[in-house]
Amino acid sequence: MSSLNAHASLAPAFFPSAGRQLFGCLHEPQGDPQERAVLLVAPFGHEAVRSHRAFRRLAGKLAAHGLTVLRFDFTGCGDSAGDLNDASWDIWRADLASATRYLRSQSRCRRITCIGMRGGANLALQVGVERGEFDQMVLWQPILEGAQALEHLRAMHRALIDQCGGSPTTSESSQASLGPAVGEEELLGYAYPSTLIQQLEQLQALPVPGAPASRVLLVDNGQSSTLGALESELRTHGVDVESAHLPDAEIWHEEVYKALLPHPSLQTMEEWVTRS
Amino acid sequence: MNAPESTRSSAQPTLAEHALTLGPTRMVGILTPSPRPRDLPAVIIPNSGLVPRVGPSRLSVNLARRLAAQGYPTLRFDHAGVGDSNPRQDDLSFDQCALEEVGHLMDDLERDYGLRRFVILGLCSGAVTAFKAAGLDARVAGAIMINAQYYETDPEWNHHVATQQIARHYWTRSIFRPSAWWRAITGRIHYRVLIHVLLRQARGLFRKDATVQQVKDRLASHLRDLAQHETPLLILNSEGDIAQDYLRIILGDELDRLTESGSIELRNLADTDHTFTLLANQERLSEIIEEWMEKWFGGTAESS
Repeated sequence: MSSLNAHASLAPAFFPSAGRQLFGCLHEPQGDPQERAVLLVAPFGHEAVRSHRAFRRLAGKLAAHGLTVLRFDFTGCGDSAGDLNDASWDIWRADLASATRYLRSQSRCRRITCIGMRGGANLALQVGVERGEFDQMVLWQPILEGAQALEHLRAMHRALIDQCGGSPTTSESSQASLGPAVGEEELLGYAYPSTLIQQLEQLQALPVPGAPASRVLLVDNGQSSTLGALESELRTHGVDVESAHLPDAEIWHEEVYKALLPHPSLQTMEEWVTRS
Repeated sequence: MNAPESTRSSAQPTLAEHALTLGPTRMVGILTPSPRPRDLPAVIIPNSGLVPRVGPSRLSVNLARRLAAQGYPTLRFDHAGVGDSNPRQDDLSFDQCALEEVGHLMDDLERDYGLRRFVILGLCSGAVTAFKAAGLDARVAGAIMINAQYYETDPEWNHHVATQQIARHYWTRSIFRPSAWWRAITGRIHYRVLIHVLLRQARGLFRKDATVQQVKDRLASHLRDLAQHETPLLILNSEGDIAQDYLRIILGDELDRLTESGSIELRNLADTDHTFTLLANQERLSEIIEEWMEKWFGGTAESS
């Protein structure tokens, strides 16, 4: 079995966050360890599983440069404790801070680069401004308007219901023990609690109240660039901002079986993070 | 196996989960032990295709926690090269690796946790792994197959089933729908596909494809063996899913007889997609699995 040697060292583990346990995968640095570690912040709900492969690949690329990398699951997502109906935006912000602490303790690095995708990018942006713990940050297609993102999710969910012959999926119409409970909204197989729905409805990327990091890369996979206003806003806070408009598949919405990898985006992030 | 770290889910406070690395390639898995240790088999949940071990819409996480609460320690894991697990460095096909990897998991779970009997529960490609592992390894006490597809990678075999599925769709659904006829009249259908399917069906009336027949015989023989040895097997298919076509083609007229044999149970579930995305469908699926597990192995959520 010598040919089966694992080629990269990866440590799966649980770590605590406000009384809950979060699952994380720590990619240990290969070669000479760098003085910077990287925290990858995945989206939530169906987008988490659909972006997993890209994040796994990115983590491996960065670890090959000697960086310690942590991927983790928010409360109610992936392998972490609880269900989505245990989650709220505030709990996820606390989770992100806990993951940062865990990465710092494991890597012994003071400088942390944070890479967030979609809702994970919004959380990284907020926590970065509040806590000032990240020296650089990649915001990969952050959600600009939460209400709009929710509408898109609802449209995808309605299409799924049609495909399934119009099965009941709202709390009002569901049978006693089937489907989401009262006060929840089902979106693509996840029961979102009403508090989280309200928080997502109100989510806005702008305005940004301060600098989330001294250096920021914006990655935009849309067919037309949408992050210009965010870029300008970050500059007003003295942030060194770069933008990469790389029209590509929106992997967070694509079915996993397609096995899509956004190579140009991954390469751009790898080069940007390791350049500094 | 590397030293496990444990957690306690606040949603199900009695369940402590362990993050593990298993087998020579250090596959990543999460073990949910039962809060009430009993002499019940453990459940192993492989990947559904390329979906990471949490499963589509987190289905595997939810199933693992429910089954553990019922008394069955449950492991969800990533095959080498899928999810968090590193790829293998050899050139074996997935078919060849999958069963070997399940064997490694059972070895590790037996050595480190004293688990000796297993039920393999899989969706899509995971269902095929469950099917093949049953009967191959004496430690496998049962299998749950959800929407099993392909079974073997032979392209002729899979093309044959895909063609049969399209033909079934034409003969049982499109032919009765005015909108389908309207699309045909107005040229908005794939004529090439239609002609190809009809020709292939006609050809099949006179000539049996040897490769297809071999695969079919092999799979049918394995199913007969499972029935003969009374290995409990639960087959769950979404209505309209190609999994139904695979099963019908493998067993033909034998399907009803085998599923009435006692140990093999077949359920076709209406109004659900391939991965049981909607919560109501996940709930329905979970309840059927829990009832079946209780029937064959005796675990209950209330028992202590």
